[in-house]
Amino acid sequence: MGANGTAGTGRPAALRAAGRTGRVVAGAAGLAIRALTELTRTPPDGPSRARRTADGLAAPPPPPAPYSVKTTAVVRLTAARLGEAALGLATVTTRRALDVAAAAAMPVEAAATIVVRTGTSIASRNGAAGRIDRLARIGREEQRRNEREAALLLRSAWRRSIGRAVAATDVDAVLDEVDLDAVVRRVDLDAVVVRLDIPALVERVLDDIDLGRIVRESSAGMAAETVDAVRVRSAGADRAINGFVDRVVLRRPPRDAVPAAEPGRAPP
Amino acid sequence: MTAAGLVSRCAASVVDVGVVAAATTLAGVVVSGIRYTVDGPPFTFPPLPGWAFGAGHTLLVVLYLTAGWTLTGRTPGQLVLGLRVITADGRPPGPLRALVRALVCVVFPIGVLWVLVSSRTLAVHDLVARTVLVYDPPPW
Repeated sequence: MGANGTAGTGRPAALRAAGRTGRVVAGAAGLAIRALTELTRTPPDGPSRARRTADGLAAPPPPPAPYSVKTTAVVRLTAARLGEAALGLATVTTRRALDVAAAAAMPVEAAATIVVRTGTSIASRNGAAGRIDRLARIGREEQRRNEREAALLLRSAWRRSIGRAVAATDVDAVLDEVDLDAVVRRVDLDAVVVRLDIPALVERVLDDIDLGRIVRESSAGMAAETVDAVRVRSAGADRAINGFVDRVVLRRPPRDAVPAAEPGRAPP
Repeated sequence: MTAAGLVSRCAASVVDVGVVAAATTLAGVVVSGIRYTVDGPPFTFPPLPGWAFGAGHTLLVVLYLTAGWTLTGRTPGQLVLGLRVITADGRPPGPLRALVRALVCVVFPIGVLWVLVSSRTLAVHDLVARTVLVYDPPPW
């Protein structure tokens, strides 16, 4: 299967997207049709108030539905059944097509890979790759310049429009009308503080920082380095004392003639 | 693997002495705290005769060394210094061998000086228990 296939469907992403789009379109069409039929259906009976006579007594049961109503229902049912059958046919066809496409995707992908690899190796062999790189660099720089120009243009246009809007507004008049002090007085700062829930916020920030891990790691690293240094130093002192005793005091060949493995951790 | 020399052995012993002293102090503080809670002030360490203190400490040290060498092949001090006690087959000593080594260590501590003249850098307790103390830092 394709590289994008997942365990559930095993189809490439493009095919899956196409299938999902078709599903959504069909579903939307079905919903629209259902809504239309619901709208056009005649209500089965009037409200219960109409089922009483003028005297307030219970009305006799309504007369049997005329033949045409039954025909309409039969026609509607048949049409719905036929529509569903058509949808089923389309579904089966789509599935088959998707399966075929998924089966075809693998060789196509393989062929594309081979073509791309071959092209790359050929290009790198005869120097075309360098030329392509040069061209790509030129194109990239050109594109950067274009983007910069566009961004500048957009920004200046935005600034100009804002400036025009601000110039058209009489800000002072608006400020005169608005009593800012009253607005500020109406703001319940305590409620804002309560709603912010600062302890929870601080807790979350501290959780994100994970101070404990930092302290743990750094102290563990320092401790490991210290212990390593102690081991290396003490082993060196051992060797020195042994060598001194062997050479100076006992005047014999040193016992650690064969160099031992360096104690302590492996060198970085 | 080389046998460890005098400095490493003494440094490991210093660490071990610190560990045992800390354990003794902690036990004393706990016992005194219990006594203080039950009997009231003053807060004093339990009045232990000197011989009982010495004998208890000796027993504690022997147990400590035997347990360390039997279970992992090293005491905490030897762990810090990256040393390990092994027998001829390269494994940690058994309980009996570790007990013999610990007893010789405690009774005749000066025997560690034999590492200076021993051609294989062995101490007296190594010779008696037929063990070797090698440089073998733990992998972590």
